[in-house]
Amino acid sequence: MGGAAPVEGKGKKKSLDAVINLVPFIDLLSSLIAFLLMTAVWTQIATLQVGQQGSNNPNPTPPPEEIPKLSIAVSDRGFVLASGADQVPVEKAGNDYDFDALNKKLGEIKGNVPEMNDVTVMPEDGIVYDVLVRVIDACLGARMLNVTLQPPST
Amino acid sequence: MIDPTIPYARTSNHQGIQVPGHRMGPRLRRSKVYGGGSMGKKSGYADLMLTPMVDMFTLLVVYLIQSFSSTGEILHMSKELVMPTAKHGKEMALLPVVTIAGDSIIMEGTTVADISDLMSGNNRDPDWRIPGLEDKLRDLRERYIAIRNNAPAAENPNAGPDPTTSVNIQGDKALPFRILKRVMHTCQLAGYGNIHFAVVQGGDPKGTSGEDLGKLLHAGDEG
Repeated sequence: MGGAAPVEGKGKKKSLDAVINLVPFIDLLSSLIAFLLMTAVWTQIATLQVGQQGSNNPNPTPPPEEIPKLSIAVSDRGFVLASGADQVPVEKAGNDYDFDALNKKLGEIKGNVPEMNDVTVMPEDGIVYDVLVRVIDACLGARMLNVTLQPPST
Repeated sequence: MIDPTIPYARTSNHQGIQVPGHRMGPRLRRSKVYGGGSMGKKSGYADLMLTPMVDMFTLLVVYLIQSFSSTGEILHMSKELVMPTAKHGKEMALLPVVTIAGDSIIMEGTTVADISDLMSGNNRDPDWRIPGLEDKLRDLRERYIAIRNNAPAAENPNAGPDPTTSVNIQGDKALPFRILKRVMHTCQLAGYGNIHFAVVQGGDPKGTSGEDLGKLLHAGDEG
């Protein structure tokens, strides 16, 4: 284990094999494992960046006028995607929000207008944070990276 | 002389029937009391297979170093706060954290407002402002700016979000938007216009799942 033991002849030739002392190596590994297990983070935390309507962005980049803006109204009934005068409702599937349909619609819109990066999400007061995060996540998944939150009343 | 009337009679010395009490069991036969163990005295040391153990240790260390992350230290996780999951989040930066958990709005470990108090009729601010949170945020912002002014050389344009204009919001999944919008509005009033919602990273883009550990172990076996 750890290398063959040197076989000494009667002063003739010295063996080239060396014994590796495994004990400190195993000690080091055990200490490392204990430390890493204690400091391990099993839940990866990430962030979703959103802007606010009227926020003081230091580097505002106004979009070209010809690119229509997309807004997503989130209510108890579902989503309504609006761009200019066009409105596309995405109703709830039973009691749950239909995020698959929302992802599909956002993908279609991004496919038709690849320059569209700005989305305004307008949730009602009763919408829970989880639904809001999933809507923002769907927008980011469709590569619409500038997400702005705006309450419908403002 | 074999007696043909006895069917189990043997020609050898073995007897078909032995007297009870004179036959030892195999365990007793091997015991030292009866002189068992013909190989001599058994060693007190057990052979330990060190090679697979060292292999296993090395694989574990590699996996744990690979999944080592310090981003979780920024947030304080509590039992009553269940964060939502998102797939397209970015890595968390070191920013001020506003936590909305249970009935409290917590900033830097201090409760700055009670949600039930905020939503009660006599405390409904038409401007959506939360005074305690705003004061705390303004104070923190002034301190950040003072530190930055004292050490301008440390400023790095690639250092991530600006801690004087960006804030992390850590909220529960069931938090209604009517609370969240007041917190966001207060952050904006205090100069924190860039909001970062803290979420649990879904989809596992960093390779820290048990599946990846399985792949690593499998690769070790193949090697």
